[in-house]
Amino acid sequence: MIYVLGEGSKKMASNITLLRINLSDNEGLILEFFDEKISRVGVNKGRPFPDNFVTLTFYTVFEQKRLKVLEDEFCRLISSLSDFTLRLACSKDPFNVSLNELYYDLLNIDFPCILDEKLYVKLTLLIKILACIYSKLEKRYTFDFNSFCKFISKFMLGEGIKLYSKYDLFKDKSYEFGRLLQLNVRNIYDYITLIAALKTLPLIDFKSSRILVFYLTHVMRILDECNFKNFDTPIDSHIVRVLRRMGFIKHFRASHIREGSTIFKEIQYLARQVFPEDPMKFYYLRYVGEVFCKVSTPKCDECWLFSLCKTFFKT
Amino acid sequence: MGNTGFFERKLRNAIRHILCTGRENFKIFLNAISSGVFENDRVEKLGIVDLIELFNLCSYVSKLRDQALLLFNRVKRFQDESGLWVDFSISRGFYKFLSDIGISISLTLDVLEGMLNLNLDKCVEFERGYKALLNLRSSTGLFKGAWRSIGSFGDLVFNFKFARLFRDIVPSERVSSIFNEVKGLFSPVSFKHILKRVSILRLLLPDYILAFNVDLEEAKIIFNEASDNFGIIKIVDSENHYVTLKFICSLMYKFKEVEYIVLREVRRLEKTKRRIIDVVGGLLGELGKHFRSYINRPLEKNDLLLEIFKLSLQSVFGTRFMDVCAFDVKLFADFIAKFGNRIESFSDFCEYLMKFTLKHVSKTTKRFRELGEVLWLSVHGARMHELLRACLKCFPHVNDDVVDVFAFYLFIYNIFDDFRPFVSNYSCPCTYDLIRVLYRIGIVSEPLSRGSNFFKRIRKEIHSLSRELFPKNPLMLYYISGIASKWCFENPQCIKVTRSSLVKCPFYDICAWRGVQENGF
Repeated sequence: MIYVLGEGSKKMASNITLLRINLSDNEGLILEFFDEKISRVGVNKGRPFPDNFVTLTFYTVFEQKRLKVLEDEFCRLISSLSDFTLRLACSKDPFNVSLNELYYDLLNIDFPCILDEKLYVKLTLLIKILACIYSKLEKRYTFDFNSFCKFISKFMLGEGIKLYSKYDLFKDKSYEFGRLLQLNVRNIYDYITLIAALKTLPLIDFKSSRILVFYLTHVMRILDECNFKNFDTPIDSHIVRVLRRMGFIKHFRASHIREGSTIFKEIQYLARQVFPEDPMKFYYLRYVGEVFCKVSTPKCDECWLFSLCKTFFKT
Repeated sequence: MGNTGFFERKLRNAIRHILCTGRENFKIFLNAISSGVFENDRVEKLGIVDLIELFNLCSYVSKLRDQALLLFNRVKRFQDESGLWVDFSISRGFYKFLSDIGISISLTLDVLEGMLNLNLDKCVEFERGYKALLNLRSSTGLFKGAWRSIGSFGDLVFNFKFARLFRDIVPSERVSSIFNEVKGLFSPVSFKHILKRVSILRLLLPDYILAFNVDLEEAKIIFNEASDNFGIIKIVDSENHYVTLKFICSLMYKFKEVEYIVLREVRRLEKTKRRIIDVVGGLLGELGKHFRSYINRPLEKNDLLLEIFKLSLQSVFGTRFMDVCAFDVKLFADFIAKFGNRIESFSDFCEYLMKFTLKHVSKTTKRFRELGEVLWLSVHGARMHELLRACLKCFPHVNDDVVDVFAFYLFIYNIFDDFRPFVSNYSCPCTYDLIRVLYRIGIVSEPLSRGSNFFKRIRKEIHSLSRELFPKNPLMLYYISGIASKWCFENPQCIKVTRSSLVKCPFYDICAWRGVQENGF
């Protein structure tokens, strides 16, 4: 059950204000933390937009799908995957060759991760689609938000869908393609369209698509002129853990949350309460989750939000 | 209704369900019960596991003893060098929960059981199989690790079966301890609870019936508790026809009464199926006229298409719900108004419908999954029947049944000449009219409400029945629904009074429902 936010509840209102103040005050620190994270895989403002987009997509997918089995090689894998994609985009006819062969030909190493068959097929498709996107995107450093939405939705409906050769593989994504088609027919090109378009990529779900947009708009700031009011906040295990311990939600795991479910809507409502101008900033809580509010060894003494935390007072 | 009534009804349901939707080997077995012989062409196509299952089942029926001996000649070819029967590629039913050792134990035990029933225990194959099984046992003398994730209850299944089969050879203390354990599980106090909670233990039931002195009343109670409404025993949430049939076979082996019920039901089903084919063949013209009489005025092609669409919605949802479906009709009318003049053939119709769906239906629909499918089919190219189904399903209230009825009317009115080759790709629509008739003549199970799991299973039964009876054109079975609007109303008029004579329903003499109404159970 979710803790229902009563409109007239004074305590809740003060908690929300405190949360906003704490997160806003430490915004610089939090952004630095995220910046450091993505710079490990070679993402920085000095590189053109397409390079950063491709690398960030891989990073988000690997991070969210918990594919960091080889923890040490994780960053190297993503940077090599993005290099591989960029080279793939420049080659003539890469789509008829298997991933392993190409990998060896281009980088002189075997594919550095052992994946099961389904995942391998999906990853191959993701690489091919991203290579195609890379070759079409202009080599600019920043992009207009709406034009990027338009580009990616048109691309996925036109050329992207052609790359889904197997019907079985496509069936997972048919819902997202249908939704994107409707938005396209209605000429809507905004945040919702971008999320719908990103979700049509293999291995990207509602969670990773929002995190990718967060990295592009809030951390890297390479998508201009956005109206942040309509944005959602990404919800991952860190956010859910922090909210649960603070007492905003009760006994929910991140894996139980689906897009459009009650708990999803409630967390979005909470995010809009805390940051009405830009709900995506609510994802700053991830910093708290990763640095202080760890799974087994929470550092409550160092946490800024201890005064809001129910678990702190209990223990 | 006591245990007996429920038992007989469930037993008949199970046989009917397996005969409709079961695997090929089970159908062969049930057909052979009445005729006493197999069709060799059908047996030749079976894989090793299907063959072993069939052999095991046949060994229990005295009538099929000769056939079982013939089957054994095939089965013994698959014994490997170690003496076991194995197929590691199998991944259906409860086999998918078994480890490699478990699969080999299960299959080998089944073959040895069949051989014991046929008194072939002095064969070389039997000895080799038995020795191989002994080698698979752990140091404690029991089978262990046969299941992937299920614990000791799972291993008990094979240990009990082994102890039952080789009661004379296995040390008596061990046999008695296993037998006591099983007897404790199925004690009158605990067996209902156990059968509900631990579905894996339902695998023990056939052996339990054979091993202990169980009377028919107790067997009936056990069957009623272990099976679902269709009379099928479920193992880990999936229906298992093999265990169900094995249980029925063990009952047939012990009680002549059950054999009689099974035999009677199989024969009745065969007779009913033959009658359906005769009725559809004989009354084709009359029933066709009946369906064509829904639209009695001459119409142009475009208007006819619109009327057909309305009719198909009406026959699935009923006239009362046509207001709800008004938007679908409006969308289809828009399509006809826009593209009607350009439609000349079935392929034209499907292509323009696809364009209309992508441009106009996509604006309003909430069926995104179907819309995505249409998009994929439009890019990659598709066969016309797939395209028609996908496009029509983007309409707000259209479902698979509506599409099938639409195809049926396209076939009846013969609007497009190039539609005939696609007919075999459609399945028989499941409307209330059709289900009412088929249920009353006792060939499908009892319908409850649309959208429930029951309905899905009945739909599956009807689809497989139509493919079995009319493989070239499954839509032909839908002609039967014409009987529903002539004789078989909700309050049926089995004999219709006309000016010239009394017209009996074509299923008058074989109708199980009429018999129940007149004579009771």
